[in-house]
Amino acid sequence: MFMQNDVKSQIWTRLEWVCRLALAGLFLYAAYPKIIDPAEFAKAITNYRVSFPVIGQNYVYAVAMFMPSLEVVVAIGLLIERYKRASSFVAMALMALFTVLILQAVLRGLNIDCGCFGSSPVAQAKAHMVGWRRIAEDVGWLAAAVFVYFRSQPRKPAYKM
Amino acid sequence: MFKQVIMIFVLAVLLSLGARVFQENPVSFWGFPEPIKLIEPKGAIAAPTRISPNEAFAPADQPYAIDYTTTMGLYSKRKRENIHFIDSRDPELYAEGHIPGALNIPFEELADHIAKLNAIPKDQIIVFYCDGGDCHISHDLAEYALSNGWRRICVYVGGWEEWCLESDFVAKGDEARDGE
Repeated sequence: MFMQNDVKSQIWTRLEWVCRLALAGLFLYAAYPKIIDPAEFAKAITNYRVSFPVIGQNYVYAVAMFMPSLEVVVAIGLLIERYKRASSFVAMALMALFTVLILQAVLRGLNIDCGCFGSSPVAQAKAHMVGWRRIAEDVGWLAAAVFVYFRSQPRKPAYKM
Repeated sequence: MFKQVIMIFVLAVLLSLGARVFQENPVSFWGFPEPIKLIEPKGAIAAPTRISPNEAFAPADQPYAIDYTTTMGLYSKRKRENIHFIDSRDPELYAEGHIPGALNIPFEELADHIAKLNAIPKDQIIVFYCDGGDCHISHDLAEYALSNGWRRICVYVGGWEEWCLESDFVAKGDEARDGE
């Protein structure tokens, strides 16, 4: 019985590590081109045409500057035991935000590059267009972040002395 | 945990400020990039008596914005004047209907189709179009073409949505046929 629980616990721990490593890798991979060339990333954000009252789209440059750095810090935090809960919380929020942004673009019929891995100044690699597939991918990553977050909840002691 | 979340945000702000030192094109703190500016051609080319396409679309550093009438004018002269039409939409949409003779270079798969663009001489006129309205991939392709040496670039702003309403010239299938 104890052995079985032990094996289960090990499997969950390994799965958690896989999710943490995968999420950290994803965020670092996504952040690199954007941190190198925020101007290109800003173009990709502008293409989403999300405009707010008063400020319009003037938030774009600030987001283009800040978002890649946030992704880097979250990626590193996911790998550190002490910060994994807070990092997975921010990762959840980011993934939820990306999913909503792409969803609104798809529903509005925008045929745009998602900008997820920097803008695609074409020729280089394949562009990552927004679409249902990308939404499904983001939901998968969101699920991984949720899993890490709930695994990182502080455990209640099993019994009291 | 919320203290750590705040710390993550503070570290991210510091990192984003620090990264500016190494960035070739750091962005300002406020604002957004203006979309690529389209310019007007020098004159109408729809009627045979008006100026030629090569005069109207002199080599420029920005793409020309063209309307339906001008696009139709270019379409009617495409064979004689070596004018190329490029449909930047998905292959499925292209197969459902496109401007006859237009090549399909889907933005999504540009790397696979770049040879088609490279086959076009750099001094010839290229007309890019996509859906029209909110569609911007023709602008992106035009920007790519400009940065790679083509200088007579047009973007048909109304795009496919306008063309299929206004024009009877519609081709179907997944290949451009020259006789169309």
